Amino acid sequence: MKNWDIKDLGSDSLFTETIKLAKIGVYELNVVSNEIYWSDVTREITEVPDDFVPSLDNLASFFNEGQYRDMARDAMQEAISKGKSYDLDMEVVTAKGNIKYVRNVGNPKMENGFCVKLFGFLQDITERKQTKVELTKKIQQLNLAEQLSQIGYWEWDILADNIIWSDNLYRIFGLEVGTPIHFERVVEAIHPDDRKTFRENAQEFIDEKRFRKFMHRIIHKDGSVHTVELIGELIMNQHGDVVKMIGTTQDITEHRMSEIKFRGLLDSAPDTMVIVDRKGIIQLINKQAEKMFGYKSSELIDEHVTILVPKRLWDTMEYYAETFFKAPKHTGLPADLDFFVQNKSGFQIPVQITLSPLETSEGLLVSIAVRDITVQKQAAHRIMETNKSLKESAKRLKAQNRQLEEFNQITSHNLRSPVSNLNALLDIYKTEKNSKTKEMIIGKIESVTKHLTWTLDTLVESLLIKKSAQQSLEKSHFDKTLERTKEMLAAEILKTNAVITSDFSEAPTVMYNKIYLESIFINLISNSLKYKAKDRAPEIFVKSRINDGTVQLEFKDNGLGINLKKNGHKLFGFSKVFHRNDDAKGVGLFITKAQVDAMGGKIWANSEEGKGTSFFINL
Amino acid sequence: MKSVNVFVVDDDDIYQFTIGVTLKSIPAVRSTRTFSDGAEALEYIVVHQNDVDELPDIIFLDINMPILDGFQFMEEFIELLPKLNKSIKVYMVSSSMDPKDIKKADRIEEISDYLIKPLNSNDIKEIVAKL
Repeated sequence: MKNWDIKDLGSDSLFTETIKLAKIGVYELNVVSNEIYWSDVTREITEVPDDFVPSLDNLASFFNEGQYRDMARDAMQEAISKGKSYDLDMEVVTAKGNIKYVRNVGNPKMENGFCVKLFGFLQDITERKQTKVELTKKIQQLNLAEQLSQIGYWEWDILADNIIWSDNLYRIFGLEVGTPIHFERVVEAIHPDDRKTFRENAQEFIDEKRFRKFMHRIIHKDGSVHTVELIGELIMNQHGDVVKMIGTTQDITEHRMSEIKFRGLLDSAPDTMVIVDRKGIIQLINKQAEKMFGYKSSELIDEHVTILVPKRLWDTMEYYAETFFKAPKHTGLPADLDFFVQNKSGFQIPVQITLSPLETSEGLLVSIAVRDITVQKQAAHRIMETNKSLKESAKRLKAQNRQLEEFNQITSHNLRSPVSNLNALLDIYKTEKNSKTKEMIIGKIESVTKHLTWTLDTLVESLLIKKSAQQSLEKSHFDKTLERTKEMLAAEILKTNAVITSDFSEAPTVMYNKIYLESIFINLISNSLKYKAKDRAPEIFVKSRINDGTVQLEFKDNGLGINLKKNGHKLFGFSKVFHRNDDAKGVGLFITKAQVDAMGGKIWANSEEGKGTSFFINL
Repeated sequence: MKSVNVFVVDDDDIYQFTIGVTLKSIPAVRSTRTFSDGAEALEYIVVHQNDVDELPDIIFLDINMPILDGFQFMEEFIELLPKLNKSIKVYMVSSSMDPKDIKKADRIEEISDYLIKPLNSNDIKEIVAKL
């Protein structure tokens, strides 16, 4: 060390200490001897071992091949040959292989026009360099962010009326970066319709010392209109006076456009749309909603959606809302739910509801589509009514068909047979010579004619029954009707020793055609008397009851009984007889059924041969 | 010529009279027996099931009768038939032209034909001749 001429540096001086503290390394090249001196700091920076001896031969290893090695060599050569000093920011490779940024300053010492020594400093600037790189990166990112989010930064020195804009704000305004800006220059760029508000806002913020988010439009040179939104803050001096305003301006044209588009879409939707948040608070409604509910948009926004739903359906609504939020997806509520909404005046409207999730920056919203199904409901109701009346007329037609069939059978049996008898008798009459026989045949013809007349009369009667059914409805007391029946059948009852009992306590009266009711009583009771068992006196029991809302009569006897398996299908047919009985004409039950049918009722029987028969009539 | 035994089963006394007159005019008809319903006829057949001469060769069977009508009679008669040592032709005779009745009779094999009242002597002669 003592060999080194470092007096020039003043090794014991304050300077030496200073550069050590400042982490500045020193180096010296003796051009004549090619010897190199490195201070401790230089050794620290280069991370060399204690016994390292720097020389011109090993210097190159401290620089990566290429840019920095060339730079270092060139600088040294120029300094030595031309006496030129240098100041370089460069990369070095330490002995441990680390990359460091250094400031390398070199000063040649000249003697007689020749360089004898090269004297230099080395400063580790790695940290500073990194900070700078990072800062550059950050600025770039910020710029990018500004551009991406279409945000620009501004600062308004109110007193000096000087405005600073970020580069991106120039771009937002469509102005060349760096154009001087002041308040009136900004106003100039604003849409004429928004200028007044802009000025008023600025004044108001200053007066009230509070910034309020607001929007205005700007017009570019090319005439395009952009919407921007401003957020800012006020800066006050120590006296509390507003001196500065800073903030950001964001181009929200696209937001605005998409909001306008969304609104347009919402308003053009055929259905009523109500958009609510997770709590059911109404966020947005469309025009159809205003129409359907009779509320203005402003009356509904921030209200809970229950305002639109009748109280009785709140539980239903909550159930479906919970289900929806468990797995939010497009959900149509069941068509048969019978859901209603209510408008401002409390009128309830049948609706079909569809829920859809709406992901927004403010969280999950639900778009509720409400379709008025009053018309469908009415149509459905009409269809049901039509269906009902169709069913009724089908039933009526069926009944008429059955009557026609019945009538057809009557004509083919009960009218044809006497006619064919007449033909046969006439044939015999023509060929018969014996006048006595002829007279007998005439007698038979007479009896057939009588029978035919009776048959026709009965048929006419049954047709009249069908036609004049519902005419005079009267209140009849069953006990009185039974009394009259007993009077009319007094002789038969006496002859047969019949016992007739009754119980009309459950249904003492009925509204019915009085004549039919009496006819029913007479036919059924006289049947019971007629077809009594040979070995016992008739016991007849008549009861009335209410069955499924209609009055039912039961006539029960202990007579012969009928084999219903065999004869059930023709029990109420015309001229059907089931016993060998001279009186049997087979019209009693036929007429009774015609009367019951005509009144819209029903008659049927239970019977057991040898035990008796029960007739049931739903009046 | 065979002598034929005829049963008429019909509750209509006028018809009984007229067909009686017609049958009497046919020489091949040895005897005629009339019944007012299916049950009476059946009873008679059951009683005389072993007496071939008393059993009919031909039955003119009405449909509409009390107690046992024509079809009900057939049900029982068919069961009885294998026990009878005689071939018996059954003709359903009715004033009814109801297709339902005609079809129903058609389905019963043991019914030879369905005839519509009134029957004249020529119809009956033909039937007797066919035996």
